[in-house]
Amino acid sequence: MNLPDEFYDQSSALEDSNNNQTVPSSNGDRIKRKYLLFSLNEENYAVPLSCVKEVVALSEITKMPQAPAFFKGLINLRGKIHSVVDFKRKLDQGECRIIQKQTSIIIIEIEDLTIGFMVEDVKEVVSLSESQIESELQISSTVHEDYIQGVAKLQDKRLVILLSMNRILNFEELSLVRHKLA
Amino acid sequence: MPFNDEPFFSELQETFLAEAIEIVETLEVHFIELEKNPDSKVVIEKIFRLAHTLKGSAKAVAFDELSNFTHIIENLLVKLKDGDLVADRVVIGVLLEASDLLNDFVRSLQHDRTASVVTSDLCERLITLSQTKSHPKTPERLAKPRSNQDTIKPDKILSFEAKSFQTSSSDFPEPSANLSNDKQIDKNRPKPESRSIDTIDTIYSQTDGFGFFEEQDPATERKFAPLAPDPTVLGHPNARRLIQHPSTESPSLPVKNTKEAGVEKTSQSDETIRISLKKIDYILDYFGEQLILQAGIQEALLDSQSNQDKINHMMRQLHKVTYDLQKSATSLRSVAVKGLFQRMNRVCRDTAEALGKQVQLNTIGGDLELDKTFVDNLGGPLTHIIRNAVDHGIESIEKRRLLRKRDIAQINLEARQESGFFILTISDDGHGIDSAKVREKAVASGLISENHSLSEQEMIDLLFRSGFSTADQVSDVSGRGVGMDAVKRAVEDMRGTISVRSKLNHGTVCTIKLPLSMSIFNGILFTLKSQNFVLPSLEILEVFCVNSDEIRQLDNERRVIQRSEHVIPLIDFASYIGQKPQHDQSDKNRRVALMIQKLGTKIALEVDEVIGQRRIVQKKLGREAEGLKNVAGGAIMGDGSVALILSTANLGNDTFKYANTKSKVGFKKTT
Repeated sequence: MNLPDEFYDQSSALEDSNNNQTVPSSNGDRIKRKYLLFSLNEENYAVPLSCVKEVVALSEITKMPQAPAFFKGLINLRGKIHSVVDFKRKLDQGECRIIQKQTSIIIIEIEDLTIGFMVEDVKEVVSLSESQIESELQISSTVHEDYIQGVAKLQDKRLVILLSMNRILNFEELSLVRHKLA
Repeated sequence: MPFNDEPFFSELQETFLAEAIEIVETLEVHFIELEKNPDSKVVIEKIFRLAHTLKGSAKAVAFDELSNFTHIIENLLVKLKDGDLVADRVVIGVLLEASDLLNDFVRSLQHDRTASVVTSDLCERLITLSQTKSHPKTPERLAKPRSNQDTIKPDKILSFEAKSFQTSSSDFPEPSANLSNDKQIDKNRPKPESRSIDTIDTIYSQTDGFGFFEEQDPATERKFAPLAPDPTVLGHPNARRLIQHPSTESPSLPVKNTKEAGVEKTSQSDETIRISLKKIDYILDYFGEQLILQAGIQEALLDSQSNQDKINHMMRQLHKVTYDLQKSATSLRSVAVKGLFQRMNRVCRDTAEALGKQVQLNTIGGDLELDKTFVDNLGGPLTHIIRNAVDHGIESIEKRRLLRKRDIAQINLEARQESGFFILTISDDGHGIDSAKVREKAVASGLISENHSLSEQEMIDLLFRSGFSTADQVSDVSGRGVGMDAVKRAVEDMRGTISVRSKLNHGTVCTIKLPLSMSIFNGILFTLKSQNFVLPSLEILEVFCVNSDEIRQLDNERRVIQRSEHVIPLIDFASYIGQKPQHDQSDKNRRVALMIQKLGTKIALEVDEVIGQRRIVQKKLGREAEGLKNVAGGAIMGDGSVALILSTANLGNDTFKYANTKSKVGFKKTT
């Protein structure tokens, strides 16, 4: 992971101020939100930083028998067991490549679900204002449109697909039991 | 409500309810004790004090109905205390019913703070009893509720109270006729000097009709005092609740009868636990020691070369402290099984009473502690076993005399700790299990076929099969045939085992073996497709090598092996749980198998390699990964990796398709 140190500071600082997810920009009136940028197939994706608990390096994953393909398995994170989902599989973009020192697991926490999402590379944290986000814009992405919250254009002209974690972390969809019965 | 601080008040109510549960349970225990020693002043005094506390505290937190009901119980208790009434079976019976109702009441209040329970019928009987002046000679007469002209009916009392709200406060000093009747009882009591403060207090609260002004409770006074002179009190929500009583009945509150109340006492909302300060102090001590050692090691590591011995020594210390810390931390979840045993005392008493048998329950080892979850979950199984023992095990008194057994049957309920397990045995001196009869029943109900030869023990194990009951008649007490299999399942859910040994005419011993903690246990670590898996050691009978020439292939799927005169189904565990079968292993002529037993049938599970036994700390999986039928949880290995803890709970049913092979022991597949 090639992350600057302050990345970790930011994520933990945000955790402390859970209710204060919006950070006023230096301009004052425009509201900016922070997003965590990562890549799959060299394409940029982002998730709201408010639902990111932490980012950890890829560790040994224990496979779960009879689990769907996107369900990578289980990891031990400081004595707690978390499920890991292959983000690329979940978005139907093939299987996550394992790249030394790049492939990471983003631990996402929404309500009572805490799940690790395996991504190919975690890039940076960006602040985006509402005006930068285009929710109507149709881009040529193969990602299921339900999972896309919008598309943002960064200052350096990079395009980023913003993912809706609430949709992706849908319990019904993730539950292994449901997959088994299906 | 005239309370400025609603959350605070709600918290008070919560605290009260938690305490009330304890009080009610203690009351019940004392009632049973009183039955054994009807003249014990000490016990009566204890009961009286408990009831009084309950009444006062209930009032203080505005649970008026509960308080009023307790007040009526208290009236009866006053009689007992003053010696006007003897605590015979009838009295105790009614008191026990009252404590059941109190229990229901408190528990329903936990769910709904405005809940109410119909108490009128019992109130009437309580009052009838308290009005009996002398020791009743014909108890049957009193056992039934009857209306008496000069009996104060509970609804009358309550309606009076409700009315009092309507009338102006000047009415208070002149109690209605109903109440003067109540006072009459007070006059019948012995001389005033023998009365305790409590008694005087009671009279006081009786005369004012409200009982609002409990002297010990300044809080109550503060809360209700401003209300008294106000004639428009009707608007008070309490007043409304009183008026509704007893006709209104909260739909969520079915009033359970005595028999049922004893069984299902597991409460969902009861999430708090009382912990002795000593336990917390222990943990803090160990924790302090750990910190000191950590600092010591850190310092010694600065010069790790020369301090090698020192570091090693401190590491050993640290291990010890960590172990102690773990033990203390686990004990925080533990409670003494005494409470559970006391409940069983009640179950035994009620069952024996209903069947007209004389049974004494002896409890041993009640001070031993066990994980609270276990203690809570054991209530159901134990109740069932004890009822079974009383109903099926214990003979009628005539038959006992014929067999030259003691008139009063004995049931021993014993807890002990043995080599890392918590063991509960329930033994009775009844007639034991007639295995021939069991067999007959099993054949009749289609569980086994006519020509199955079963050993004595295997026949007894049939009891654990679903839909089995040996009782010729389905009685109220037992014999619905949903018993022992449910008991077995409950015990297995706690990672425990249950076994029954019996000798005809000598009695039955039922043994429940539980791990000391739900989350820490010994497990066998093995691999399937080079991935680690764990099964609890408790479930594994033996680990053995299988030579490929010992395996017989029945058809594409089914394989069996011969093992000490038994033909045992051999299951490819990897493919059973969904790890893909390993073809590369087929040329390997030595494999390892784990032997387990499910519903009396041995099953061999073929695995790749057994690594050994480990102390396993079970971790919960996320909600998204829960509920898989073959996975019980996860465990973290020494190297930090995660191993899956497997469950064999479903294996039994799935493998009955192997039955009716050449196997000596076989059962029809149950669905």
